[in-house]
Amino acid sequence: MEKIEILKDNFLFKNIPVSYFPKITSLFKKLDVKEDNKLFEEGDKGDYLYLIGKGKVSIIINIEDIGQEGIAVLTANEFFGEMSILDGGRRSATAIARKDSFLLRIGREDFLNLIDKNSEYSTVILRNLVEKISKRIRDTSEKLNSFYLMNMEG
Amino acid sequence: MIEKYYLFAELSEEESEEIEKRLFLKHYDKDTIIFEEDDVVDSIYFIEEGEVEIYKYVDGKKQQHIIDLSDGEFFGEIGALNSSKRFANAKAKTDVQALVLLKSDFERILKKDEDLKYKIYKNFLDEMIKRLRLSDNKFKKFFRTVLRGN
Repeated sequence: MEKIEILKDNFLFKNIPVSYFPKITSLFKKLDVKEDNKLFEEGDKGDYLYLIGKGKVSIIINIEDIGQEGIAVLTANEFFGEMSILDGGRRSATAIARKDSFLLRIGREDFLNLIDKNSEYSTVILRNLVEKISKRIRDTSEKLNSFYLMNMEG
Repeated sequence: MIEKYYLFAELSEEESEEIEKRLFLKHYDKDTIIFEEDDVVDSIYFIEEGEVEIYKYVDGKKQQHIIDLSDGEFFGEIGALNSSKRFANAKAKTDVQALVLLKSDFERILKKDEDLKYKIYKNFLDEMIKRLRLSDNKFKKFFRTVLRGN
């Protein structure tokens, strides 16, 4: 898969013209990940944002004595790892490949440059991020709601 | 006047004025429902005085508290940028004075001024990230304490 194909189909770059992508491809590195390989773990320092070209990645949290609880399952054209990149904090969850996957990754500084005020289409990227993150907040809340309900009813 | 709301942090005087002239003050008596789940999103509310509770219904009956907001905070903005329906309910816990910005006015302002649009989206994104961390932590806490306790 060509980097540029993955970039232009990703949700992160929705509503951006194709002419933009050749200028940024060099910032992204290709990454082949085998099934069950971890991309990062909860508590790690966050250095990269990832785009999925092909495959499947789960975002999970580990719960002592119980096992793992999934927060999200992500597939082609989605992105993850943005939280630590944007606020500089630690990874809040673990990302693990559920299939052999093909990803692109971009380093923190490079990504922050892409959303800098003076960068082309930075407002569009910000908007896409806001849209996705609002949705994640809602999903987490919905999920919490349904577990809460299950628990209340025993 | 509006700089205290994070969405409008670091705006120039002209930019602030552009927004201020479109705001109107509205009063809600204690216990008034300001909006309900699934309502069409038409405004953002900035609390000048009083307290507002945001909550959701679980299975259509049990109320689940989400957050209490007061002076200097605002709500209803998530839908305002995605033209979706209301995700939760908002109720005045006390008498409330709120500045209201119509979604249509907000969109007009953003369309007109690219610079202002960038600033507002950046402010919004920073806050969304904070909230995502909070909601993730709540989620983890729930699993780590409640479920393990059972």
